[in-house]
Amino acid sequence: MHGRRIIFRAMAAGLAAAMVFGCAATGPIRPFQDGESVKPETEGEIRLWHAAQRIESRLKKSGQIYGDPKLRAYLQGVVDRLYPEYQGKIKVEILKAPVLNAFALPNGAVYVNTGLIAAMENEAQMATVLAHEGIHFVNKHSALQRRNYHSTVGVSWAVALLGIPFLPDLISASSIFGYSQELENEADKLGYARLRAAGYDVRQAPKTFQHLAMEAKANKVPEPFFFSTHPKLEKRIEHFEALIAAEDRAAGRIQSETYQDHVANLRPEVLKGKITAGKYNAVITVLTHEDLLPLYGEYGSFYLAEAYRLRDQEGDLVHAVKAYEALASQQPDFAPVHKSLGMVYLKTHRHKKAADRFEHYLELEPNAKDSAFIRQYLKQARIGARLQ
Amino acid sequence: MRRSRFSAVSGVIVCAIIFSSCVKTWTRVENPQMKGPNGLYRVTVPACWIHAAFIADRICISKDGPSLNWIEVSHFDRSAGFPLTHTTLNGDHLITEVAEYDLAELKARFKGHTVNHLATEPAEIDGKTGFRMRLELIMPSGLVFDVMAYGMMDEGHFYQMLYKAPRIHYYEKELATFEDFVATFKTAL
Repeated sequence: MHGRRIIFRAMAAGLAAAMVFGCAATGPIRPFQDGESVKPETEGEIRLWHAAQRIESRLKKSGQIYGDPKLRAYLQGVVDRLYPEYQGKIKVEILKAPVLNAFALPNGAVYVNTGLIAAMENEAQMATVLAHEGIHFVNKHSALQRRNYHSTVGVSWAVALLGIPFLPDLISASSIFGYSQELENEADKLGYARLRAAGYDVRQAPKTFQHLAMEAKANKVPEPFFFSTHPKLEKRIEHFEALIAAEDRAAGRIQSETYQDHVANLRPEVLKGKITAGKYNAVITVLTHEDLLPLYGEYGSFYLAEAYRLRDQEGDLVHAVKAYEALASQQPDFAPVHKSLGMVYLKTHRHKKAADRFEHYLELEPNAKDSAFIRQYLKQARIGARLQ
Repeated sequence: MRRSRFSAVSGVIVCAIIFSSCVKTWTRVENPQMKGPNGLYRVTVPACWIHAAFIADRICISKDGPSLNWIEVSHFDRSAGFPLTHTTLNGDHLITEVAEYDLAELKARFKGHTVNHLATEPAEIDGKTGFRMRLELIMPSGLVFDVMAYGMMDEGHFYQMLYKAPRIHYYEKELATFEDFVATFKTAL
């Protein structure tokens, strides 16, 4: 009984300390005014910067940085156009990841996933994301989120008292997975103003969210990581459409062709990444959208067929064969289409057709990495053809 | 008061001893002939390796510790599908397609790490056609692991044998042991 009283007293003292220290830590957090003012001001901000540097170091060591300096420079140019007074302070990096996500770290690094870049149709849509993330940095949303977390719950002291170590990296990493509704709304509103001031066509902004909503639905996840908290994507689309309705300016910078030039190599890589990760529904959803398929060029219909072949639900193989056949007649020297077509024919017991396709594949790619498998399939198809 | 506290403390200690004796942990393999769950398969475990007896649904063994060398044998009913991606298999799937599904499963399993697919080649396992897949795993610390996974379908089940070890020093050291281990694999059906 006496021991229990001691524990309660210790907890009460800890919570009192949490309140005192929480109040002491709630000085004003002011947004940066310009590039010159970009530096951490308080002890909390210094900790966040160090945590951000640790996260960056881990991302670089983990081999997740997408090495395309031309694309990175292009996206950096978009950020500099949106935030001209912060040139050299907001730095764009690209992460090799098919998930639609982007996040800003408290030290000014903005990370954009290849999946998100590939999902955007033009520069104006990409600028919507970058403008939003830039606000998270400029208005110090990580520091605000961290302080709110401390002052409302006093968690760090309380958990320390209960023997759970305080993890600053975890707190800053939580910013990666979204901010509060209030901070996300602020990033939307001020990001929109930046987009407008930089001369972009703001009518593209809601389309950014539509792509995210479409992919989220295809992957059967509630929301993608980017803009993952509140409000819901539909609400944000409505919010942006209301802002656009009040606009007096009808057009602006879109830059579809320039964007396409820079991301043309990345798009098939992202599709391949999604296929190898088993995201067949996401690929089919995007590539059956008539506006989006042309963005993926000749590879689009191939990966659409691949997604159908591997998803293998009722009717999928018919769609796959149709897409493969069309591509094979347009691009007869594109070897992978013959291999995949041969596999579908072999599975569906059309052995003669399968053998023809495998032979063609091996003629085009005699030293292919998977040639040993294909030779086995060819043998199997030839035996099947003789028996038929 | 003092006596009741003493009895409570001794009761807790006795319970802790009883429960700790029930907890399965890493154990040195006494009998190298091991059977998988429900006796679906058997393998011969290399000498001096230790067995993770606390993992019931797979056979997991290591020589120097699970982060230095790790071999596991797992299986599932093809209609139940892969545990993480839930992709189900049917009798029409070609072995290269099974390998593609397995790659997606391994990517889901090693989520958060960079997973690079290096090669998939044909392999014979227990006299049946299967595949051998090589992957490279890069940890957030920058440490690179090599992974070799053998897979095959037999009588409605998918079987996988996987070897994972850091590229520096460890992977090559026990690779031959793993290949010998794979050669001992036999299904019981």
